[in-house]
Amino acid sequence: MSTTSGQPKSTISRFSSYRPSPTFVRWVDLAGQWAAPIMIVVVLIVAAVLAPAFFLPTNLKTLAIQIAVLGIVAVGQTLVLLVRSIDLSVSAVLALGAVIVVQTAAGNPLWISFIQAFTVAAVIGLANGFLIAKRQVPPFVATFGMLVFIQGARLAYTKGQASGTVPEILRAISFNQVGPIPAALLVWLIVNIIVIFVLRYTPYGRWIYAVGGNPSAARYAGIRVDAVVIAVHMICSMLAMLGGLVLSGYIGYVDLRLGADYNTNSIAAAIIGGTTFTGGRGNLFGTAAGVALLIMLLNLVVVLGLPIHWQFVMQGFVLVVAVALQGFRQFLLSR
Amino acid sequence: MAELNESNDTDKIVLSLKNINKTFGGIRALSDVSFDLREGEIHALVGENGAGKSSLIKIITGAYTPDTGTIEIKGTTHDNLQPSQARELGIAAVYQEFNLLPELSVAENISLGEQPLGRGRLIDMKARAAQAYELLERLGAQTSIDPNELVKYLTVGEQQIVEIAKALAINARVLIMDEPSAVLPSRDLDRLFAVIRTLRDKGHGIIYISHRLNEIFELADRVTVLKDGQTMATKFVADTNNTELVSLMVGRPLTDMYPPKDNTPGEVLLEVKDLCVEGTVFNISLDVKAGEVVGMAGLGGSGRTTLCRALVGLGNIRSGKVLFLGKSAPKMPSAAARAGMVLVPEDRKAFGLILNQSMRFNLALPNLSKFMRMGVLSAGAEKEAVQKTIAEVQIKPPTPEISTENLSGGNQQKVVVGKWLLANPKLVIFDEPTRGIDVGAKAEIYLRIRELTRQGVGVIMASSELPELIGMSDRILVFYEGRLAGEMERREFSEETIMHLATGSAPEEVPSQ
Amino acid sequence: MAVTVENTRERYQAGSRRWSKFFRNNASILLIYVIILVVVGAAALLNENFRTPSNILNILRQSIIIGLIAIGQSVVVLTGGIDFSVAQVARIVGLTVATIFAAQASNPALIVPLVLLGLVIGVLLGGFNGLIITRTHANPFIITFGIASILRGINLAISTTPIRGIPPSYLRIYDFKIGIVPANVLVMVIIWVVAYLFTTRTRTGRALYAVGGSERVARLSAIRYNRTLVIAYIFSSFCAAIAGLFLLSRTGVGDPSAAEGMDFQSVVAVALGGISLYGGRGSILGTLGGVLLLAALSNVFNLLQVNIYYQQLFLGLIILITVAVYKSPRSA
Repeated sequence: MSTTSGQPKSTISRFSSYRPSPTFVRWVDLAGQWAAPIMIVVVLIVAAVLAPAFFLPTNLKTLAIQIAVLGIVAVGQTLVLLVRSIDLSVSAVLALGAVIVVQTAAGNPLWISFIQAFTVAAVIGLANGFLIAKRQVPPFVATFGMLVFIQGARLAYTKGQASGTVPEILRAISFNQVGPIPAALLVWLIVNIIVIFVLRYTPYGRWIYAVGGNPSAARYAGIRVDAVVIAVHMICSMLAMLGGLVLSGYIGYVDLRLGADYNTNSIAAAIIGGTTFTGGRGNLFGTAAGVALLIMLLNLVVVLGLPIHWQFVMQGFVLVVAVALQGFRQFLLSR
Repeated sequence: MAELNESNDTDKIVLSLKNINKTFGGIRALSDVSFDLREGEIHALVGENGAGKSSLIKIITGAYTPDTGTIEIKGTTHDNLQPSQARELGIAAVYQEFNLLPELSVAENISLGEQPLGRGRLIDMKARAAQAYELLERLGAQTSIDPNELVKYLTVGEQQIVEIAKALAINARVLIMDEPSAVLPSRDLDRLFAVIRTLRDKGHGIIYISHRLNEIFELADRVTVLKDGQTMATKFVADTNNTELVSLMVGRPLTDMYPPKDNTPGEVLLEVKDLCVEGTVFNISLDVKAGEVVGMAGLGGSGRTTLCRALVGLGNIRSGKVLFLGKSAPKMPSAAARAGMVLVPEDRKAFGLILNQSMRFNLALPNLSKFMRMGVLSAGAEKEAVQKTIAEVQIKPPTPEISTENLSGGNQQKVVVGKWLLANPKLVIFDEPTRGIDVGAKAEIYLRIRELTRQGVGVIMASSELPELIGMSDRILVFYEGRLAGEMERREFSEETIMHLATGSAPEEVPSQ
Repeated sequence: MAVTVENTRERYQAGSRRWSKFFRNNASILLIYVIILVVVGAAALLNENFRTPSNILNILRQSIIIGLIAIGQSVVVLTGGIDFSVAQVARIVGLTVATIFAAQASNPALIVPLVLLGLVIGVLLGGFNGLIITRTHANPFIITFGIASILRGINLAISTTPIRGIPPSYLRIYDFKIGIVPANVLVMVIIWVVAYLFTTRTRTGRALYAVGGSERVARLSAIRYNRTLVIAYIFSSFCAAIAGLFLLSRTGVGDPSAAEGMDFQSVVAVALGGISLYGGRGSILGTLGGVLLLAALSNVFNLLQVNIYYQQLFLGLIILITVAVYKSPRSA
């Protein structure tokens, strides 16, 4: 409590003699904020020039549905990042969703399967949130362990076989169009609208930003920080589940590899869109732009006729660049 | 103004600061300060919180550069002293927060990054332990600390000695001890003193900062008193006493900054009986009435902040009772706020504000339920309330969308205060309400506090600024070492008496006030 | 807490006190080996297939590749990070070397240069990881995760089917025996010893503990923070490269699914072996124990014909339980 403690607050800035110029900092900051929309325009131009097949209606429909699925998962990931956490188990939850619904739909009314699926997701989110908030486990480690666990559980349950037919209603939701818009996209839009509404117009939204911005100050201000973190993780898992349901409706069967890269992509999308790892900053419009950009890039790989493995390269590259850029930007801003 | 006891053998002076001035953002931290340290002496540095001790130390270690003035180390003047330079010149400091790695051994911590190498460029473990042993021996502690023991298994006192050993390892001739006794249980104090005396006898110069005057009289050779950034006096310890030191530390003309005390206390809001918190606060009993300002005085480590936090549910209450409005203590800040008891914390940036958010966000945060219309947050209602508060508390600039990290300290504090004012509390606890704030903002905050009491709100004000406490409080409780050292009514207020109680010393003669 | 005795030298010789301290300081290492003894003992008693010498040898052989990777991973985990790219690094080294062999008509003279090339690839990739992490102050978990994804794609681009054309002399490296001791075990032991010496008897190795223990304290000391981190990641990728080279020799083909899952497994082995995932604590001695335990468990499960997916479930459960039980020393 003594005011004579001589420790500098940030030892990092104390020990590097790197002094960036203010204009440089401004440029990096702007780059971080506007990267996604600018890149989208660039991609569209490249597509127009090199691969006009990009704009075919069938391709656009595929794009829309993929944006919808990743978008739904990314909404949950954004919320988690907003409270200074992260969720690496989303890909497993996503894959799990399809399995539960398919395996249990036979013989059970559909709505019971849905309830089961979302309950499982809620429990997973609860476990994640508990480990992170109450046991102070680093979020990366906790959700990573959960990822391995769920994957194992799912593979064990399905014995590694892709199987089952997806209930009609799911197919309908994903595949059918409402006017020119695939129903899946509508689901995504609805999710976005609801979450944006909560973030902006309800106390819960404020609490999320407060907890992420400064958990201690939030606690002093009377916010129940642990409850918020746990709730956010539960919502994230449930959204991942929803994404999995929509995706399986689109694919039409339950695939072993379902959900493989929704982890890296949902995180990358949120980061590109301006959400930070350090919490309290970010919004869903940015995430939506990030989702669109990523999906377009991945799609471009296919449309350009490149072998599909370049998708992995693209995903990883975008993630690394986005994280490195954001880390650097934060580092500059903190001086 | 300063009485310097000039040394006759100037070649024995190992550190000399002359006419140091340092200003931070408009606030004068040090004003024409001179200080010197000789070989083989323990030179104590005393003063209230904010008197300038930490700024002075930072200048000595090179963390700050003085605006004007000279630093002389062993006779050589150094302009623009850097921390690495200071280290090389043999200046080392031991703070309350240790820089130790608990999972590594004592010997490793001491030689981190510079372990002695043996055959094949591998670390010579024996040499490393021997080096550590030798350092501990110089401190007289070689029998109680095993160099190969992991630091996490040492007591706090032993860890502190390891920190001192680290200083010796870099051949420090000047050792600065910042409130070392604050973290020690009393049984370890003797050992610490023995170590410090051993170092002094070996010719080291030691700057010892403490607010416990009895320690200074036990340990130090000379003492320098700082007040409001100025050296008040430097004296041989043998030539002075408690009373004189205290009167040098305090004693200012009172100003008219404080609104007149026209409040009348009402019924009891908060009752605390025999409260013990976290092993830091013991057997505190107090009560707070509506419309009354209860001041809490005390120096660093006295337990005031722990107590304040515990009242709103942020501490481990071991025993005792807290009754707020007749009901038992809230267990969480959210419950406390609902019941009407709120805390304006000591560190506004760490605990008071969400810095990356706007004024409006922060002001509205604990009050969101007030702005709900039909289940939704109404931007209009929020805006109205926010504007009202900004005007009431006089936040400048009055633009609600500005991010709070861009506000001055005074305005930041007003946001913290404002958000709780909006909540219509019944009892507000202020922990250092005007720390680091300019005079204008201070006056405005005092006005707010007076307003609150007129409305029948109870106020607890913990502060290190004695004039502020005397100017605002109806009663003052003085804390020392986590206990109540004394309680004073308005007519008994005197800075001297408060400081005596806060430093655990009894006045040797009662001064006529 | 510390005991005050008259003379420290006497303390060094006080026998029983030394023992209790020994146990206390090495608790986690001892624990893992005790667990191994228990598991192996139980399995040997209960299952007759388990206790055949060939089965035991099998367990040891299964440990080698993952053991090499885990040693490298340990070093990174000590700094408080995790290197998720290890499996892909092993894979890319194997695929690259195989591709060149195939293109050069399996010329045995290329063995030495290609081995060196593989190691260089490992060092370069590790250096790359380290540089990004230290220069941009980005989250090390995510960066290595992303790099793994990039490498995965590149690996698939190199080949989606096994690459044949490895010279037979290279294949013999894996089974090479010096007397009765297999060379691969020898290499693993050597690397293990090197890693042990590195982390206990070199300045940079000790610096790892500081970096993982407290960034603030590490930066205030005489340690070179960034350099230590980069070295850690280089070492990790280097070990992964060696593993990749061995894997190539063992399977005899450039395998596009080589080392699959070994990133997860190495982290589990490291955690089981007593190195805290929070960094700054633990010993390499334990890592090998973790690897052996995993190999033994995997062996037991296979003998009992447990579904491999249940094994993975179990793996995840282990991680979760480990972290749930040991609260972070950095709890707020």
